[in-house]
Amino acid sequence: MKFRRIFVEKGDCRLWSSIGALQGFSKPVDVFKNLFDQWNDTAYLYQFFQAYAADLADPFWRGMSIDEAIDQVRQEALDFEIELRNMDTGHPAYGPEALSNIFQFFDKDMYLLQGNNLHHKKAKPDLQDSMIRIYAAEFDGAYIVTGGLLKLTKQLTPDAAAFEKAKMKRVLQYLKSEKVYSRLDLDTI
Amino acid sequence: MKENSKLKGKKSSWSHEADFRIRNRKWLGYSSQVARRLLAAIDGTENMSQRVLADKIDVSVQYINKVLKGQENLTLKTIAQLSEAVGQELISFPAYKLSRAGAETVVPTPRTYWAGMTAIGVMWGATIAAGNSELTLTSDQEAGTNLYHTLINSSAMTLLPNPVGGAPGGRVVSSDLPK
Repeated sequence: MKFRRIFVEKGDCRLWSSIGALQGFSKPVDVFKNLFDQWNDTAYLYQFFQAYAADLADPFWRGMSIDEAIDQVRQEALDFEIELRNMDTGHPAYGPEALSNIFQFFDKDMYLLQGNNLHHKKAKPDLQDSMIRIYAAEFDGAYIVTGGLLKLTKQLTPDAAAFEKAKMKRVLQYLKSEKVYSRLDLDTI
Repeated sequence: MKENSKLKGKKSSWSHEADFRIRNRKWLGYSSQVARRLLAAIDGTENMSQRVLADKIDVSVQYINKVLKGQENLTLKTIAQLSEAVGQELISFPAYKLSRAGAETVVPTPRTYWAGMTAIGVMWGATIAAGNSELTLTSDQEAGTNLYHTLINSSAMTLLPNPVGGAPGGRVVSSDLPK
């Protein structure tokens, strides 16, 4: 298992990407980069929303067309990228706590105290009814991105939630097995 | 703590690509708009595929694949070739101060001209069936052209609807750019 710095401006990096095997790729993929590649890929979005047209037709989305959905994802991705780059480059509007503000607990309250659940996090753009979700394992004050998706339904399906949690667990267990306890050591793996 | 290694080779390329997307968001938005119209045209046209489209304009399938991702900085020439290949307009132009009052979007190409003539043929109760409109034009092309512009200006015709549905164009970006 390997990790890559997402924030590149400072030595002490608090946002990391895991490098993992993904369906359709012959080599391990930078998970975080791949998410934004997909969310900026018009052909991918066109096919995605055609495949999930039934979810998009839910009244929650107020009759949003596929065309509008593509616009929304592209805009969310852009806003998110601007926000994250501003954090990395030290924009005065984003203090040191900015990253921990955007990563929320993955689980609802009743599950939080179980096992490593406190370290399972999710992030989304600062927009109402956003579709983009990023999932990360919290490790020593840093966030290691393990996955993400476009969320069109109110709740993740149990399978999807279990899949995302399994990736977060795997990263944390791997670091423990390698006796890595500091984010400063992620570079050395 | 283990000995800290050099950062080289450990960075995600995301930051570099994100900066590119942020800097070039305007034309990337245009490229996405063209891409989704092409995708819809390919889906909606019998015997059309990325391979056929590539052959028609003499480019590689890989290039068409990149175009459909909405990340190619297309030249006007390429857009025109793609448009002719799929038989649909892919871009339009806003009215400006020399346009007729009330005009919204006009693409003055032979294709829309003939489309207008088709409508005129129907309106005049021409004896030929709509769709054979090119046959109707030689009789009074000037009058036909005038009526065509009247139709356009009165919004009787909708040009270039987005084939996927919804309003063209993205939302306004309000966020600050990174330093």
